[in-house]
Amino acid sequence: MELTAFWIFSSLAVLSAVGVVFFRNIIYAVLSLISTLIMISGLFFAMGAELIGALQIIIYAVAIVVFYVLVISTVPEFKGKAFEPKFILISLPVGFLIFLELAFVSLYGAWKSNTGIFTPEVISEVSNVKAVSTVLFTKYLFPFEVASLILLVAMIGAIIIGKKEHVIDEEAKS
Amino acid sequence: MSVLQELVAGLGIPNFKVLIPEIIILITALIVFTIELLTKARFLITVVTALGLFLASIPSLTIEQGDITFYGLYVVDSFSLTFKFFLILSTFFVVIVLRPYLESKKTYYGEYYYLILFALLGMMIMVSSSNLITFYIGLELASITIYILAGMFKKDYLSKEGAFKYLILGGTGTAIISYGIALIYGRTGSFDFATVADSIVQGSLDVGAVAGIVLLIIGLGLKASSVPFHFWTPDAYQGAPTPITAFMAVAAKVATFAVILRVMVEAFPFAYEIWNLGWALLAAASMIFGNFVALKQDNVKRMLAYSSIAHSGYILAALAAPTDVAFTALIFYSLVYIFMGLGGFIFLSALERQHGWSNHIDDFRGLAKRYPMLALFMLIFMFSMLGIPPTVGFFGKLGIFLALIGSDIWWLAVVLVVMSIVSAGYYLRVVIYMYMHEPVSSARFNLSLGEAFTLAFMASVILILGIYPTVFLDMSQLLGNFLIQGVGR
Repeated sequence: MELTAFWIFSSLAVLSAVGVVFFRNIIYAVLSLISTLIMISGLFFAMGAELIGALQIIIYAVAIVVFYVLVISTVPEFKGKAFEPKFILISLPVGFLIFLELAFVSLYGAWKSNTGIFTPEVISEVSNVKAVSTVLFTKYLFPFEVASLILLVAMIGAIIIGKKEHVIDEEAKS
Repeated sequence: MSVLQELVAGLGIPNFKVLIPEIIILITALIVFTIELLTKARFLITVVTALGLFLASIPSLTIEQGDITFYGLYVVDSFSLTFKFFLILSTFFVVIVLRPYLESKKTYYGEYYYLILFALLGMMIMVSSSNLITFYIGLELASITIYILAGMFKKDYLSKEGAFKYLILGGTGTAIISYGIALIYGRTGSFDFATVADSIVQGSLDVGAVAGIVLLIIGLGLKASSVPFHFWTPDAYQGAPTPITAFMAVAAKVATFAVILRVMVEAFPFAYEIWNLGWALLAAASMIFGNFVALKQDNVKRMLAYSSIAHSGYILAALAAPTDVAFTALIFYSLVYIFMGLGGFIFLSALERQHGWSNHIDDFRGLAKRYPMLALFMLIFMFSMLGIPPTVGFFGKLGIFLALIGSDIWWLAVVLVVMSIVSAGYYLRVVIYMYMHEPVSSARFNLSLGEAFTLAFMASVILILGIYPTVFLDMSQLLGNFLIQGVGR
């Protein structure tokens, strides 16, 4: 059962990822990116990491990629350039190196993992959500709170840089 | 349930007393935010910000040292407290010169003030991190705020372009750092510096550890604007409002140097061969490239941006040697760089407000005949960056040079000396234009009280430290030894 799910989800994910690269129309590319991310979240669910799977859908598939679609559809005449053949000379070897590195890291991670206090037995006893939140709100409370400041700053910055200039000119005159 | 309950029961309440400087900065930022929203009283905003910085600087000197709070994630030791004090000090000087500059350029926003405070908070978190997560989150807070600050020049294309480049390259740097952290976590199973240091020992350097360290070096090198990851620096520095450039070039950089030193020494003490080589290469490239390109610049602000790349090279060169002498030299140079860097950039910010000043080297013609005091200050800053006694820049370079020779790294020491000689070409050019040319215009200059005070303060500190560097040397020595003692912790 688990193996079937793995093969279905991963082959669909790879297929959609190929679509991201090769679709000429940028909307299609973004839609297949959504499909890739949903398939990866399916992989997480199949492995029993339901929290990460849900976060993957909520944050990536829904929030970020839908935001991409919004930006692409609101920015007028968004022209993506088709890839130029001369760049393939650089991108192929670099991409292959990154592939090797990723493959090494994932194999290495699979071999090295499960050394913390949250072993599979503990996880099946409590749940992913409880385990993650316990660590997040005790040991990692401080970075968690600072992250909220980062979001605040980013929001302020987006407003300042995005707001219309003539409003401020009038304020400065009065 | 037992595991979770045990985990929670073992935790106490974090000690908030050691966080007082950070708390004061945060509250000041929120107060300034409210004032800016409700009133538009520009003078009040400046005063409240400066007052908050002053109040935060007192506990950073008096607080009890050596405490680790937030479950081992936040360390308040003499190293972090010293750097916090100097970061607050440099931010204070940026804040008091900010308003006249922004008003003369018609680009005033009250947001500058609390964004600077948020960036300062990020840097303070950076320097007191004892965990890769805290370090990462502090770095992010500081960098994201500075991207915004750099792009806030109204209706100025250069500023937007520089901020955009900085955003893209800084984002790349952050991504590389997080990838490096992920590799190190995968290798050691921990984010804590102490545990990482225990796991990565001399005999056990494998691909995971080496790749993680190399990626961290690349990402941090990008943040410290070392060659070949410097492409954002000249544009972002030239485009940003000049006091913000001073903030980026001094406070942000010094915090980065401090955190680089801390991560390298405390997290990877036994992998020193890798980071020695990595930083030596980056430092040599920065020194050579920064100095040679600075020679060709006619815009003095851009020239100082390249000179700050070169200074990254001088400071990071100390990381080529894993000795306490080298760490002392690094701390000493980054502390005194605060005064030279702030002096140089705030000098430009003060003159940029004046009529017809475009930062071009021709504008400096005959400055000494018209304003001897101003020209003297610039002379002191330039001599200090060049490293001529009796300015303190001499001792900074001397310390790095001696540290390199002490560890038999001759090639880098030679590069440092040769490149310092090359740098005379552009630092002295400014001095020659000021003192040996006839004035071309006779427009009057008006300096605000804050600017005059800052320039005089920086120049006199450079001279006093140049004659009597013992205070700073002792302090740096203490901190360097402290870091080494902290390794086994």
